[in-house]
Amino acid sequence: MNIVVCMKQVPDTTAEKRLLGDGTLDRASVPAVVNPWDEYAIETALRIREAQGGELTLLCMGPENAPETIRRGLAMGADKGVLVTDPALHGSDMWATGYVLAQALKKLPFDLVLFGSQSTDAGGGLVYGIVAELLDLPQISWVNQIEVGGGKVRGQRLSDAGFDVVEAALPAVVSITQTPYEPRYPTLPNIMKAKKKELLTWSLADVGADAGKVGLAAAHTAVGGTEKPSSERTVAVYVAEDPETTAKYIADFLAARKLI
Amino acid sequence: MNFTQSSDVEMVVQTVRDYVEKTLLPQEMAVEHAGQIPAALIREMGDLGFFGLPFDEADGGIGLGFTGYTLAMEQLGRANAAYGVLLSASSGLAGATLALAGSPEQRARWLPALAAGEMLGAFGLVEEGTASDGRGLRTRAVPDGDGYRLNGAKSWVLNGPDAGLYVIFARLPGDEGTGVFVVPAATPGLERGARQQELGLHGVGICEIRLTDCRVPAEGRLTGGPGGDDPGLAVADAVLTRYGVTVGALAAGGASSLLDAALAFALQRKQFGQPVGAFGAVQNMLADSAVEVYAAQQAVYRAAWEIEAGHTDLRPAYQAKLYAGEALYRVADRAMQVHGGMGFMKELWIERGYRDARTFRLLGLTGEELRPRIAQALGCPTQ
Repeated sequence: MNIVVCMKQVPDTTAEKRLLGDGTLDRASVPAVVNPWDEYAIETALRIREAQGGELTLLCMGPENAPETIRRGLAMGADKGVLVTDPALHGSDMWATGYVLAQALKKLPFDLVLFGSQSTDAGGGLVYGIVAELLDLPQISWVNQIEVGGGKVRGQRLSDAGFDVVEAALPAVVSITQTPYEPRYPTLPNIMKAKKKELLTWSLADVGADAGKVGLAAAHTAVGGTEKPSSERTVAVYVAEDPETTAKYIADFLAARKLI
Repeated sequence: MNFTQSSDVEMVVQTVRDYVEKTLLPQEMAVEHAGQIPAALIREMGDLGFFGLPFDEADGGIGLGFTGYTLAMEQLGRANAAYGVLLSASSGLAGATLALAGSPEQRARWLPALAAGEMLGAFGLVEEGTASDGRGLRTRAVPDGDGYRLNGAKSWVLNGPDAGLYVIFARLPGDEGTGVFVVPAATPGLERGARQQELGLHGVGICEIRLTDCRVPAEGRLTGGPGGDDPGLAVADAVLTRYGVTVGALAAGGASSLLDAALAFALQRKQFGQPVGAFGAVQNMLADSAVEVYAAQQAVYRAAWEIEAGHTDLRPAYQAKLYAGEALYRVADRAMQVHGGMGFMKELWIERGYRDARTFRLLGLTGEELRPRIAQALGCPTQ
């Protein structure tokens, strides 16, 4: 069972973030970490590999410094890493990301592709769908447990009514949400071994991607502006009169805010 | 000057920090109430490779180097002090003695289990009436056939009740000086005293170790090390010097944790309509602690770097241990003061931090032993 986990380098979730003049995130100003949702995908892949054997590859599209983040995934136990990096990729939107990852996946042997269900920075949750479409593969999304066997993958997705159980033939693309098990800590010996594991760096040309379809200029979406949510709070004190008047006050209060 | 670390060191330090925050800090009170660290946690830290931090790969360690080990221990020091003290007593005292003075065969026999945390080590140097560096030992090692017979007692042995292996220092006959011996816990004649009650470090077992006609084979004696007039005490000195930097790192980590807690409380606790952190008196305490945490960190980092670089001047190591250990005590005192009455209550961990902080002035070489060493390194005469 060969598994590719597509992982993203994101800014540390606890760090203060700021945007550059072109509306893109200033990634150099904050520490980078593995997208925490992707850690669940890596943990899931490690468990499958430990049970069934095979190879686990981490695939990342990101800036030049992403190898350090990929090494954390390698330290968790992945076998090798591939970074697709190219100056032309700066400002790429989700469609371009999906396109580049799909191109890279064409060069990698796999039975299963796993993603974290979203990233903690953009939070789009779309890239795996784009990859599945471009590769013409079945997709299962937002599952918290999967079983693999008999040429199929079966996932369990939380729904309003309980769990949906969704099945697809392999090869398939699956996005993993928070699992019942926590991602493992990298052991310290594995951290030291990670630097000796294979980590390939591919350019856009290496994956056969069209530079005209990626980057800020080709993006289908643009950041029009940003502002912090207001943290101002106002307090209105209503001194209850009789029950009827009070009930009407509450109802009017909620209706004015379109809450009822 | 270059203050950046290799990516390996950074990732190891970050992993220890994550583990402290996500796993150890939530169990803070459990350790204190149970009076010991849960066995499962010790196993987990062993599986993660924490006990192998100071050792070379050939000895079953991770080969991170002394600076990396020091930085990792600073992070471990942010949790209950028991974790770092237990780990450093096993790896940084007993294990470090084996790594320094053991032959390749001795290291291969005992170090991998210590480095994996499968077995705890304990360091039997100090006795009632000796100095912390082992001068004045009364425990004796007498040749007996192809081995030795040990008689005596060791006091305040960290990990004493729980160790699987003891490193014992004992006087040899005549002018042979001090012998260093590895004694497995099951060796007849080695007896553990009752677990002692302490002011702090409640998660660490401490007891007396008595040796009565305890026979150790010749291959249990460690004869390597730096040499000198008394090679055994030279080994103890070299190990204690490094251990002092480790204790300094744990103290710096503990102090930064106490400062963080004091700051968070000062920003949240309101009096007269504003956070107490707005008051000059509280700001003074926080600022003084911040300066001392920073100074302790820098002293420890520099000392670790000097050791890893192989420099022979030991003053930075003595200064780092002395300063960081005493700074922790002052920072803990201020943290309690900032918390007011709440800091004195057992609902919070501040009172535990305050009690544990006192230990750091005693662990390894005490302030009273370090000050003359520093003065003599400056050029003062010896007594």
